[in-house]
Order: sequence, then structure tokens, then C-alpha cells
Amino acid sequence: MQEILERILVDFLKISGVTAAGIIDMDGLTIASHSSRMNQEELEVAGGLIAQLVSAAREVSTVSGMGEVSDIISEMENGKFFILSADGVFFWFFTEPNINLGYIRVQAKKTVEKIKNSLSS
Amino acid sequence: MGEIPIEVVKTICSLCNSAKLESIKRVDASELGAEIENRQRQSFTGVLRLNFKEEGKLVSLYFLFLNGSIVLTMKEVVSSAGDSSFFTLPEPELRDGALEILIVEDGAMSRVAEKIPNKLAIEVEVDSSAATPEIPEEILKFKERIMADAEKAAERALEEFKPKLDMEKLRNTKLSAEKCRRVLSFIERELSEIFGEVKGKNLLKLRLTEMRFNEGEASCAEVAELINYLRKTALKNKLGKEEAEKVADRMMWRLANIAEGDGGR
Repeated sequence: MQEILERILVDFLKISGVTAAGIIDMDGLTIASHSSRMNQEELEVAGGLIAQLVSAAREVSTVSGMGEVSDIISEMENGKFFILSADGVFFWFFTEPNINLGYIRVQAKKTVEKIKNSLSS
Repeated sequence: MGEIPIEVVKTICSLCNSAKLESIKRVDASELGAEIENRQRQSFTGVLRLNFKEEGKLVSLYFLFLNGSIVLTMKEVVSSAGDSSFFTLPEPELRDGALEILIVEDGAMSRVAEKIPNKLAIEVEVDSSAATPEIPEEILKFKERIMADAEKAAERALEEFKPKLDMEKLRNTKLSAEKCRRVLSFIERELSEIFGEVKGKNLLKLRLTEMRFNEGEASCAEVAELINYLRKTALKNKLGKEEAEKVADRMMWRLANIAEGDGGR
């Protein structure tokens, strides 16, 4: 269902302030990604680095006994990035710094549900 | 193929984003044709969206149904940069692909149908048990109601997801000078957008003289009072109660967001 996953990302990218989005598997391989500001190669690299971050977070979680990693959020000077777990894959996206955080999180959760639905169908 | 007005495109995209997903399935051209006929017989209201790849680009075909009649077919071509171009299709194009079936409330779809210029709307032969010729009049009849319905549904959904603010905790949180600046900058920007830059800044200054923002000794309580003051006065007078509440709530959320940003110190 490659087309559906891409469709989901394109829909998500229509939200104001979202600059890039992708879906990676546990190994960091990009399943689908889209961005108006990054080329395909940069998106692949971002996917790999994000997988490393998830891996580190899972190690921390294991050591501290805090359970599965569900979300990772990071705020930077010029933007924010989010990683959300979606049944064996990870949905990630970058945003501009001054986004409506509440709205983005609502939409991100809805998007995770769509990804889960499409992977299970 | 003709291009579709941006207003119509935005409305349709928004509709699809907020629609309920009934199912996703892979179909070939004949199965898609059968699915369309079935939906016409069932007086379906919603969107069938077929997604496929063409020359490496994502292409989506939209079939908008209102009470079993197709009111518009549209093609979206997504570039590798994620930009979309939208075109009308004179008649349904049957292709292989991944089909999404999106359910939409009758009212919301009627409102969208109303926005479609007559020259873009298509007439499709349907089973005699399906759509009726009165539909265009019904579309006109519901014109003003539909947009409001969809917006209310979206607001309700947003409200359900929104965590509740702990106002007591928020009011007791101290704000550093840096955080004060960030909060005030946000409020000033909001006010400037509404009242214009000069009045926006003046509104803020009037209240700031009574506060201790610059010494880094203010707490969220003082900012919350400022926001509530604006909510009941300037914002309400300018925007009306409903819109003023939204703007003030947004300011309050930003305050909470910034206050908690550095561990709530």
C-alpha cells in the first residue's frame, strides 16, 4: 500500500507549518517520505538518523524500565521534530518553530491511526 | 482537463482529511467500475479516492458522491516536492490502484457540491433507483448550512483531543524574563493581526504598566489575567464573543506551552 502511505503523508503536509514527513521501519529504511524543502537523498538520510534516535530512546526505556517508546519530540532553534510509533513503523515529521502545537498533535495522532489502518488492511 | 478553483480544492481536501475512513482496498479497473456502480445504487454520500503511481508521481482520482450521484471527479498529481496540481476529469477514469472509501455527512457534502461551479459539475448516468433530478435544488437549499456543520464537527473533534489546562497550577508558575518576552511577543503578534500593529502594541502596554514583566518576577497568573482582560474587552468588542474566546484560548495555550517548555520553572 505504498500509494496509500504516500497519500497519508501528502495530506499531512498540507497542514500549515509542516515541512517534511516520512515513515520508516525499525531498521531506519524509508517506506515513504515527502518534503517541499528536502530532496529524496536528504529524506533517506533523515530517516536513518531518526531510526538511530528511536533506537537510543528504546535503550533508555529498556534500562529505565519505562516500557515502549511511543513519542519523541524535540524542539530546536528553527523548528521542531516529532516521531510517533505506529504499530511497528515510525511516523516522523518536521515543522516550523511557531506551529499550533495542539492542532499538529491532534492531526498527527489521526495520521498515525490512518497509517495503522492502511498497514493492517 | 481544466483546472479547479483553489477554493474548491481546499474545501475538498479539508473534507477528505476530516472524513471517516470506511475501508482501504486494492482494486483493478473493473472492480473500481463495479464499486462506483454499487455506490450509486446505495445512494452513497462520500468520496472514493483511488491512489496510484504514474511516472514516479503519486496520482489520486477523487469521485465525489452526493446521494448516489457523482458531483465531481478530480485528479490530483503530486510532484516529488509534495506540491499538488488539481484537474477536473470530464468523466470517471477507471484505473488500478489503492482505493480509499471515505464517508462524509450529507450536509457537509452538499455544502461542497454547492461550491463547485456549474461548468465543472458532471452529470453521470445512474441506475433509475439512484439519484433524483431534484438534487441540484437540494444543494442550493442547504448551501449555507453545510459549511457550518463541517466546521463544528472539526471543532468538536479538536476539543475532544485537547488536554484540559490546569489553571490553578498554571497561575502559580513563575515566568522568567525570557519566557515573559516570548509570551508577550506571541500575544502582541496576535493583537497586531487583529487590531493593527499600533493599536495591538498599545493594548499590551496599557496593561504592562501595572505588571512586573521586565524584572522576571511575573507569574503566569498576571499573564492569565491580562489574557482574560483582553478576552472580555478589546477582543470581544472587536471580534464578538465566540471568536474572542478562541483567540484568548489560543493565547492561554501558548502561555501554558511556554511556561512548561523549560520544566515549568
